[in-house]
Amino acid sequence: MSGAGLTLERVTYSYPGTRSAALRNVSLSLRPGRALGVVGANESGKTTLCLVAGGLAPAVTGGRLEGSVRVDGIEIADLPPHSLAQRCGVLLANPATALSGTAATVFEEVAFGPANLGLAAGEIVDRVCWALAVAGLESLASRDPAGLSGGQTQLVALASVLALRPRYLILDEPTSELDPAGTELVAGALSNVAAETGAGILIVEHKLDVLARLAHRMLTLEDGAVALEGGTAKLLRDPRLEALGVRVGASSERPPAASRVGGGRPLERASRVLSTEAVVPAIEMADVRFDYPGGVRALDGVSLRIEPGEALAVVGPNGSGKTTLVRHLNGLLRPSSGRVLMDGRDVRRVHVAELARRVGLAFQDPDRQLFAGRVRAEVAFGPRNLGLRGAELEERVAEALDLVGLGTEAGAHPYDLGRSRRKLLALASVLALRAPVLALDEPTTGQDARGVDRVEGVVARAAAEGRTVVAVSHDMAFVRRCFPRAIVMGEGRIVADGPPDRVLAGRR
Amino acid sequence: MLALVLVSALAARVVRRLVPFALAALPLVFSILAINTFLYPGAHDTIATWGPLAPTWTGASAALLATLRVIAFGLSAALFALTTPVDDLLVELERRGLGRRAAFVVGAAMTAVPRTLARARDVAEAQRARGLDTEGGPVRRARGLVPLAGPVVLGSLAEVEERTMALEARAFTAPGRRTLLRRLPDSGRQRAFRWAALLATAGATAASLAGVVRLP
Repeated sequence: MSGAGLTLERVTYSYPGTRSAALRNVSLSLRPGRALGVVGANESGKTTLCLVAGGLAPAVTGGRLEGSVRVDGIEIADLPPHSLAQRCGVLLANPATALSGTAATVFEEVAFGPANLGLAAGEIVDRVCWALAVAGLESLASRDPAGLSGGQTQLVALASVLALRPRYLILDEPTSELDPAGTELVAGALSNVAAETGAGILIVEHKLDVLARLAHRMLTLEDGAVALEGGTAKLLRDPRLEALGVRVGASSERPPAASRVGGGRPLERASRVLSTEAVVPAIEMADVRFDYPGGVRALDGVSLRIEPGEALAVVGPNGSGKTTLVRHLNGLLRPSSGRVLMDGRDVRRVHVAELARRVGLAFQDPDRQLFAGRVRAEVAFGPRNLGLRGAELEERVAEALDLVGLGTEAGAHPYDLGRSRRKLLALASVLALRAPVLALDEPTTGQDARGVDRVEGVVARAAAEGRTVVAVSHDMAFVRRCFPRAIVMGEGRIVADGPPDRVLAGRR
Repeated sequence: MLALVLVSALAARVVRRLVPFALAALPLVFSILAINTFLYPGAHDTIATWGPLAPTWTGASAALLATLRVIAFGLSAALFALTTPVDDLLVELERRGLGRRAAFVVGAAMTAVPRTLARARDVAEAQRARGLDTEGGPVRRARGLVPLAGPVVLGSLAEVEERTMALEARAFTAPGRRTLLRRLPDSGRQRAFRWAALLATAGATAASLAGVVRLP
């Protein structure tokens, strides 16, 4: 077969050192100007499909590939990497490693690819400006890429791939770290890119409304093989989707614009304060400001009171200070001014390690949290520091792993798990502390239906046990289901506070 | 030489940031001073005799000279690091014909220390967040370093594959010259100064070799 298109024919691929295939007998065809959505459970082969279609597996990863992968009629293995990069632009799922790490500004980071091609400076500037505009990043052009939030980094990584103007875009969960507004921006921008430049798009995505808007066709993967395939509208109605672990309810519902909310707040606050005046709050922040070195103000006067046993969601746009806020809860960051009180004690005078008994924090990026060589050792690290040994320790570890569904992986290396399961492992490592306060930074990111169920189970159980839960999330469905109270952040301040149905009323 | 470094540091307003570097050199400085002053071989012009300790004038002056050399050398390296942004240096090296791979390696080497430190900070934060107490006294801090070593190295290795893929995906291995977007301002005076510095170095070295001037 020849002609325009990215085609996989009967592709079976195994990673080096594994016996079972990660992709099994996969055939697909992507035409220029069309978009193909890929869904499936965690570890069903979605990321592997991206690596294979982008020519990175087996070229970089090693392993064995049978079948043929062709781009515009040319066998992908015959193309040198730089030539391939202009045909197939691959955006990897982990934004932290997607950047070159050599650029001083966002502009230069996005220019890295085109500059490698040796294009004329004027052409590069045009492309970079276009890519920054598509990703809505103009205002960050002169910022240091190392100082961006998780979501902003993901947008820069996307712009960096777009600037190469590839004929085919291969995107592995390009909106996973994005707020609903960012998700909508990217979905809209990608449909424009497909229409204007005639690029073909292969997109792995958990958010079905993004696919509904963008993809012409969809396929679902199960254990590395194509399970269902068809037109997007038809496939989205297929009752079998849910059984395949697809998050049918997942959406990128918008949170409200700041101006729309806040009306109900004083009343809400007053009643709560009245009823619990005698209780010492689990967490109290008083006019907290925080400046990162280099002068970026991430928190700008945050005052917040969280009662013991309360479940609170923190929502808001990328870069609004959500992660900075939760990192204050266990003392990893100390306020530049203002005070953070934990059970009435100023955290400034307490060691982080001591706070760890009170607050378990699961980080946004699991790779910044995991460090052990075995899953079991990773989970045991915390309780061991608390003095647990022997059977008690084993029991703690087993319980935490079971809660997140990793009970059978205790002997595995954390890096042998996919990113979504590494995230669950990071959660388990925090659960094992059994701290009275549980702080979760974007816990549902990248999870399939089962993964989200597990996270929701963890939150429900913690709430039932009377523990305090604080979760940063872009996942509005998750917020509505699990949290009676939400605060909306905007530019380092709290702009709304109340029940999710009220503060998230927004557009819908 | 030391005076030159200090004057340049003043001009670049980085004197305050040189202080930690100077402090880091203190143990070395003290050991040089002590060893030379007290144990200079063959020196007899003792300043005083305290039991077995007999500091000598020869030793003291040799110590002072060695110390000045070490400080001048150390601080000029520190001054270079403080005043030269890595990316500017790389752009200039590439403009002068260094290949992109070589430039990347130079850059990676220069940023390796801060990158490793950042990774170590991440791991340390993750460990503290799970109850490993590394705050407080120096012994406790030192103990916190032990569980860091393995994860820092392994974590960096685990990232290598993803970073390689990211670079491949950005056409890093394309043949030919990269386009350089930055053009660093380089005035005639700067060029003249560089040549003058180079000539002065060559001149001083030649004069010293020829025995005309004795350099410290």
